Amino acid sequence: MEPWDGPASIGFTDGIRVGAVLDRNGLRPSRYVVTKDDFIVLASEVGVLDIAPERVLQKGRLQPGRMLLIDTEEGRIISDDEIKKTVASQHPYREWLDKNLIALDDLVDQDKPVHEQHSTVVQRQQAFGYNYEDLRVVIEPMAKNGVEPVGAMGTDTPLAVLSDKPQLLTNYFKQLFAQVTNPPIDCLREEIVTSASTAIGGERNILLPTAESCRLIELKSPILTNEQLEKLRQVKEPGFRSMTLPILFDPTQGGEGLRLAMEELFSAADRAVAGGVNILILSDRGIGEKKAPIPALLAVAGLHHDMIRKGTRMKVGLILESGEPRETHHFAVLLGYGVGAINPYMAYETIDDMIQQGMLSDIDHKKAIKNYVKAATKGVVKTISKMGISTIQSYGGAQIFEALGLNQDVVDRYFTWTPSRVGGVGLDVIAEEARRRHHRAFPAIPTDNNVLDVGGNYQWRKEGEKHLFNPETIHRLQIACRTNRYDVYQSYATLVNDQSREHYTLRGLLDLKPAERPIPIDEVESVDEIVKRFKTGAMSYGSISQEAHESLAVAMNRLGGKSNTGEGGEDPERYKLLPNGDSKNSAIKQVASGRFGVTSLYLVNARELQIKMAQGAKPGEGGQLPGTKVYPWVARTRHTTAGVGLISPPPHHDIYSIEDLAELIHDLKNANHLARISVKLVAEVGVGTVAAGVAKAHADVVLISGYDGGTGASPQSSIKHAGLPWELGLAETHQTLVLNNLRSRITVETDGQLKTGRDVVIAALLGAEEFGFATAPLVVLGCVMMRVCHLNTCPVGVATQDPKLRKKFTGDPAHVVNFMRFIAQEAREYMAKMGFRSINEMIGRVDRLESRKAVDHWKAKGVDFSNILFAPAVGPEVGRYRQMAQDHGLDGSLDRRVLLDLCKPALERGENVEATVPIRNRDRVVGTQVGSELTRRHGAKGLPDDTIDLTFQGSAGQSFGAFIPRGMTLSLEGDANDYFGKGLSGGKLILTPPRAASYVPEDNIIVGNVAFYGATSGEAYIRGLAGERFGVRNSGVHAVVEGVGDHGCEYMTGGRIVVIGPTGRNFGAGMTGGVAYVWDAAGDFRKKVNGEMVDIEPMEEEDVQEVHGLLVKHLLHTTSTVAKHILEKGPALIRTFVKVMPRDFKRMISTIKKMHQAGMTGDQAIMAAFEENARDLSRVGGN
Amino acid sequence: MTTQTSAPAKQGLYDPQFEHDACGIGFVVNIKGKKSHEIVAQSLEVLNNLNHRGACGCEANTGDGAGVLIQLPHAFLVKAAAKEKIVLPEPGTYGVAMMFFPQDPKARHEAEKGFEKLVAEEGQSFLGWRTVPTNNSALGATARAGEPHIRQAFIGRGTNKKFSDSAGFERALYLIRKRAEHSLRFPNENGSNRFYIPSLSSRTIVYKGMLLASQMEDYYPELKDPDMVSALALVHSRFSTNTFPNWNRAHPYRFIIHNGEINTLRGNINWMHAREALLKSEVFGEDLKRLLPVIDTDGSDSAMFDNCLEFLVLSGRSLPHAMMMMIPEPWANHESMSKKKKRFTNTTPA
Repeated sequence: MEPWDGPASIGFTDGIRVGAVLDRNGLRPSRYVVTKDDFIVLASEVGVLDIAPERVLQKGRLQPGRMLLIDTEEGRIISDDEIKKTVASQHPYREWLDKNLIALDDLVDQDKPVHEQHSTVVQRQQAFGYNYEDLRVVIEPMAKNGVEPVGAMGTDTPLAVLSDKPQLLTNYFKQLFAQVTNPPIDCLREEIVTSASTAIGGERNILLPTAESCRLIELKSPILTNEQLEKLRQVKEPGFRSMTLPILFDPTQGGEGLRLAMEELFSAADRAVAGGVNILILSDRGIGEKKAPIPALLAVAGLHHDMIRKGTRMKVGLILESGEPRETHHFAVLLGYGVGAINPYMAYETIDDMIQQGMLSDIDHKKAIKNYVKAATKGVVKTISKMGISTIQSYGGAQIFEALGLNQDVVDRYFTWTPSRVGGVGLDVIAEEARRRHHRAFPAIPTDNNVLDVGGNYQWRKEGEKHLFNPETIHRLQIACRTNRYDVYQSYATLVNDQSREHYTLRGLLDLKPAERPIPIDEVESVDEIVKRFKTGAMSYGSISQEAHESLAVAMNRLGGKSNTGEGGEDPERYKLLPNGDSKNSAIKQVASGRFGVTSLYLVNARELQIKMAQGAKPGEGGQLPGTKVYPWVARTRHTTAGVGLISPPPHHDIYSIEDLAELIHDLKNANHLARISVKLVAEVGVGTVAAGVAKAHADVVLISGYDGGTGASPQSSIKHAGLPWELGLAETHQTLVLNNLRSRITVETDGQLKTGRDVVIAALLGAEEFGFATAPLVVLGCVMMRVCHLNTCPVGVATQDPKLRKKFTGDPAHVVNFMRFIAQEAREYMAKMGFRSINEMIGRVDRLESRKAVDHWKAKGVDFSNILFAPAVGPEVGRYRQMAQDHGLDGSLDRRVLLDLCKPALERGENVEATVPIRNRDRVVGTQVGSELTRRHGAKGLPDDTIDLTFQGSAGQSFGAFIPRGMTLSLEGDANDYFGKGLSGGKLILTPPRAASYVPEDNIIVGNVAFYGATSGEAYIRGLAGERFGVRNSGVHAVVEGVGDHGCEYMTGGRIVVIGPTGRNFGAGMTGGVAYVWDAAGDFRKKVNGEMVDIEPMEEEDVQEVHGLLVKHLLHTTSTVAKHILEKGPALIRTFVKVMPRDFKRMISTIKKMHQAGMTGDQAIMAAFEENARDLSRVGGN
Repeated sequence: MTTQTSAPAKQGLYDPQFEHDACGIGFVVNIKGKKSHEIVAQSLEVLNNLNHRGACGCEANTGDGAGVLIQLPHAFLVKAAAKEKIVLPEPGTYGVAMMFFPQDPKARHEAEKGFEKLVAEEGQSFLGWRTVPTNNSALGATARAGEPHIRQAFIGRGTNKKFSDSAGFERALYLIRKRAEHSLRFPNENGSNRFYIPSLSSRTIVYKGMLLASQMEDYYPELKDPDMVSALALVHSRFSTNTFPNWNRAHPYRFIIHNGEINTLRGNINWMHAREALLKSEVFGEDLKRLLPVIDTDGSDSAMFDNCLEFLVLSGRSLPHAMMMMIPEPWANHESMSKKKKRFTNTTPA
């Protein structure tokens, strides 16, 4: 059966046996202790039960995919190996499979299908709705390079249900993605847990495994070439029978005709199954003047559900042969609704045609098809990994989508159980869209229409799809802000608001209800007050230029609003006030999964700390800054190396679920108790419940981002198809928070293509009290929507680091100030008309919105706003905007109870402090408040090493020593939980077993998962084994440890890690900087290394010295017997260590050395090395 | 605030199917199977020390859920049942149902009668009811609003020889519970229901509720009884994304405690449902039809996982085998896994 996939730590029992198991990716923590008197205690944390150290026999952890089992009847612990051997030997599975499971490649080749005439390609492309952009933007990069198409700057085209153009049915489905309650996964760097393979055939009784249960055909990818499809169609092996059913209908018969065609399909399938067919191929080959294709998704999902209802679905494999699917999203939706494999024949034919027409050059048919299948398969795997799913097999039929713009009847009948909340089109419109496509291909009066439509979905085109930002609106906005002319702004706003009303956006379909008696505008809250609620979006220094980034900060500080660092850190120079009183310090400092530049100093200089859970343009995905964009100044603020690519992981590795988020919120509050903690989410169905969880996790602000937000670079399928408009996410959030009586505890903010005062008013009425703008301020600063941010060629110096292009920057903070004030002024005008004196009065007043009466659009008329405009029935005592503060529980912390007082002499006078303090697992994030005070008082330099020297005894709670700066040394005698040394900023951590322990330290687990996540500097010595992801995203810490779990040193960009013991799998995945040294005593390390970005190199003399130095310290601090042994053996043994060296990092380091030798110094040498590196196109990482 | 008595139904853009939860989990076991009260007491201490992984809602004294699963404490149950004039037979020959009923006596009475009837229909003997002593004085208003009336039912093993082994008796008890779930629901005013059976087994029992970890012992005072012994105890402290009263969603479920989230849930439900038509079981025989559907879609993802696991185990798979089917180790890209094991993990059609 298909796996129940997701992060999990599960304890299970039948009353006799007790066991525990982790998900395949090890995304939840589980630690256990076995005692000498036959007890075992397992829990999410260590230290939950007081057990005297001398009683302990063994300390362990659950490992990914592994099982721990205790049989109380047999009175013993059964090992994972034994369990699995026993189960696997119950039946001769291998023999069954060897005999019955057939690889697709092993089926005999069949005659190729007859290719149709190339002269009719365009006609058939038209029939399936192809346009020119499908060729250029989608298929070309897939076929040419085997990669997904990438784009920039979000999307501002109409939703499918509001578009005048006929839309493919797949466009009505929005991908869901993981945020907060479960993590997305990294299918590139953690490929070891993913699988694209599936199997085709009928299933039998799962309660009785037999040889016949394995009678299946195994597919390596669900995307089939024409040849592979023919093998399946003509399969002759015993036990298989395939049949092809047409999915065509008469387009002149409208919705009813489509419905009947579906019914016919269902009956035909019933007959086939009754006749013993177990491979059903649904095919839309054979379209013609009288025959249009049934939308492929409708055919697939409808039949899948019909067969589930009839109990026949497991008897057949479903395959689709269709001209419609061509991009990642299409494949994902089709698989998500139950098809087992897809043959996108029109895409293949298009590739051939493009080769023939010279649109695709330097590539042959075979290679192009191979690339395309590879790109499509990778794209699907990436889509499923956004939801935290690791195998296509368990994604199949999981329906991880929301329908946006389909009516309930269609959903219930063909897409059963799919959420659809704003109603929309029915079968008649779906048929009409199919008819229009068909009509374009087969017009009543034949015309010479042998060209494809331009498209214009990805970039504005005169004849193409509409965009809110087009040359006209951009021009007016820029003139208005540059010349400070409100009248010009008004003409811009009128254009945008009117366009919006022409069905570009959901908000465009809403009307504001004026008050019976409007109020004079001077009674409305002032512009000065309103702009304090405004923020600019999170754009990293690195994705936009220094000039643009600082202009936004200065402007927002002048206004009393807030700008956002984005995820790239910030130059500490910016914390100083400028002579004219301006400040370049971004009020909001973002904490994203990459943790670049997140130091103690960075944190204490924030007014708001924003945890970015997801980003509108690519929720559920990580990011990658290629080495060519990591200019020396970008590297400096990120605490990394110039020229070396940087990866932001898809998940925060300290947030795999809601209680983890609560922990990070708590950690950050400890790191800066004066800052508000904000959590950024992206709108999707269910975001309201996530927001309620965020409120319960004590966040001060929750930001609901629309799906359409801008971006430097994202896959096109994510930009267009993942997430929802903010109107839906915001309304759901507000409603859910009110229902839970949590709304009064948290500020709600929204962003996503906000462009006018009217947008702000609607956002407030739907429940927001703060508002973010990103694309519009960039336009104000000069952006002309070239959408080339990802290419570093921005012609106006906004989204580039290229010094030559940056000179072309013409923006000014004053322009942004003008823009924000215009927006506020426009909002005030609406407020006066509506009789509102303040924003607070408006929040959540959905009764003052109505859906437009005269919606006569052929598609939009089905949209139903009643759910969006719903107000939960709660009493007047339930607050509708933030009125009270969260209780962050800092008073109960060990720092406040004990440590801050203890450390006063050091903090105030720099005197040495030494003390010993008991600790237990409930004491979380210990030392961080002291560290924060130290940084506030002593700045970036901190205090001399060891000024504060504290020893703790016991089991430390999560996040021990997080963010502590230089001058602090924390020694822990006992053990530690997850997130040990998170964000370490110069401090020193020492971890040893309790003195009374009699177990062998190097054989027992002493520290949990994800130690030193995002650490930037400092030292650590750990006597014992660590869990998964040790040193993840470390960019500076030097640490010694006696063994690590899976994914060691993942995404590391700097520092040194010495492992003098065993390692887990996938070591060094995504590691682009720093060096790891591993004592490979067992000799099996090499096959555990993920070699994509790192090489294994011999130890050079300076490496030996470095390791020797660290081991001497390790011995000194921990009395490690392993270190003692190695040091006794001397350099000869250290020379046998394995050195793990990232390739790009090595290239840059040696180029810098070369520049030094050539006489250059400092920044000059780095810049020269960077430029040389950027010219070197053979670079591996980052591309 | 206006107190609700249960989670609200779908309304506006809010849909309860998107609720999430997470938690801290733990267990304490004597490997040799030696029962003691210490195990139970220590498990509650573990629970207390995981409190920060759970959450509380808009009231400090309303938790999101906590609970413990232990072996049937025979001596304690004999003592407690005796007070109700019930004589319990030998361990293993009776089962205990832990049940949540509506507070309304009339509704409860009807449910009890219905339940007794089902027990008889399934060939078991109904031994009697016991009201579980509880103390709600420390609970917040929200928890109290959703509080069920908690009773235990004692069921003696029937005489038919198909119940004579432990597994056969467990299957019979499972069938009773499944049938009770199908037929005895009591929708209350908000469309939710408070008829719920946390556990029904001759081996294990679950004490749980919408509690903070620290409230467990006070709410269920009998957990402090020295006769409350077990060789194993599984505990769970819950963090949910809402503040609504919901006692049923506390863990443990009948077989599992779960920290995590099932991402593929809708597919798993659909495929399981699709599969039911093909199911045949030697051990259940004709009874199979009466227990379907396997998955109760009113539950959380964890509850549905538990449904499926329970079904596989009671159908004859070993417990670890069933777990391996539901959470297979990744095999496709594993460099060091044995071929036999790889083959085992790869046995499912699409």
